[in-house]
Amino acid sequence: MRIKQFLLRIRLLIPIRNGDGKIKMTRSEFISEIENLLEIDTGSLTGETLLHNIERWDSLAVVGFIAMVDENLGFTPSPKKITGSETIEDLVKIAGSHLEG
Amino acid sequence: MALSRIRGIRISGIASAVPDQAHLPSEFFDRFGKKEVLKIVENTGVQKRYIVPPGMCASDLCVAAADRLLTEGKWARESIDAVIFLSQSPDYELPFNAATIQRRLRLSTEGAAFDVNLGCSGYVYGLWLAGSLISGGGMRRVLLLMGDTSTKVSEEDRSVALLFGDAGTSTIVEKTAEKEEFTFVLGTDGRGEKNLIIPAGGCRKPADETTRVRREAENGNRRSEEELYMNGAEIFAFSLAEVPKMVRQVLVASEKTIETIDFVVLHQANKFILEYLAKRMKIPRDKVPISLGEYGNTSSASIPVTMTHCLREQLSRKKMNLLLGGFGVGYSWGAVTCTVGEIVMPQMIFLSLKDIDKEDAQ
Repeated sequence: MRIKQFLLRIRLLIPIRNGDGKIKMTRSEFISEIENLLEIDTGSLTGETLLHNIERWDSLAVVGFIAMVDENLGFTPSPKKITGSETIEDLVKIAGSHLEG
Repeated sequence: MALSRIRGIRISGIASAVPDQAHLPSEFFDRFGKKEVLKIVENTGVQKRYIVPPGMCASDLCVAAADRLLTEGKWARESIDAVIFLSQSPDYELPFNAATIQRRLRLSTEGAAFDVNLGCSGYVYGLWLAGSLISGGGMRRVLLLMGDTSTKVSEEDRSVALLFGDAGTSTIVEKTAEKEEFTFVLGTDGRGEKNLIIPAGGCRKPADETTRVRREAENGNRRSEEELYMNGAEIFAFSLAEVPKMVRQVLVASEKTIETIDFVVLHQANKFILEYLAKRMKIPRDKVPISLGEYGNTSSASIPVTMTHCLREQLSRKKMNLLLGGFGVGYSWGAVTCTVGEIVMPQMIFLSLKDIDKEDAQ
């Protein structure tokens, strides 16, 4: 019984991984995921694009962005950092080392 | 994580009530524009909600649900040892609502009665509390009432205006010789307090002439400090961090798996969150009942409302393994695995203002 409880405790302590945590993305794949999310043409966003110039970048898009990062990169980005972002490049920085290349 | 195991209790009946006045998103076309409203509805999934008319409170809905439940289940009113009213929308600043409810339901004066202030995690906390009173406190039958009204929501704030519905519910928890365990995990993180809050009107910031003035807020929304503020992105990030974890913890602790659970009934936050969480936790979509299309986010009432709306026929007939999970305001979260079934479960009650005895209510 003691061993069983010990094993249970160990299992409870193991942190869960976000998402599948397997998929890696390149910078351009990441930007096209943002285009998908915002339902705008592929290739229309660059690093310099200002978020406040994108009509569809609103509070629902922020939630969608969190889900997209969680699903593809396996971590939950900070909402404060997202809402504090001014350009697409700032969003790329949030993904940071989770992006390849 | 707090882990709590309770045996020797069962849920014997659940009833839910909503006001009889349905409201549709189209009512907001003029205010926010049709395109914007439809976009919000696509995300939240709330096609319809029921909202109290002036003069109807959460307690009225709970009393109606309890009345029907006690009558249909033929439970003697004097057999209720304790009544718990869990809500964020009580009738008065004081007295606490459970006393008024004890009188209105003609329950025994020999019973315990108290209020609990919790929101979206409330159903799990309420079951845990009722179960604890029975397993450790010698009580035999507890009446758990739960519900909220969204009267403190600004109709000029699109982040909340189309989301919430009103409901009141009643659950009987009682002592039993059955041995199935209710396994609870509970958690709290008060760092989330500012992300879902009505800042003014309590003792920290008493209401005055400035707190009731609506002001321009983010994204062109307008609300006063006496109205609900919700930071949707923060709530979503919190849900992603805590809900999969608590579900996993409660499954491990109860030695169950998603395969052995018949239904995972989650707090009906919004459709996007629910569907994303289900996908992320690899729970088959048909195991996650969704009622918010019909009723909106009904806060603490959302789990029993979903059970009434989606699972009534099955729960009346047979026993099922359920995982119930609530999460939200606080932050606070809780999940429980339990066997529920062959219980008294009246149909959804649609309460009309004329059904409320005004004199009795006040």
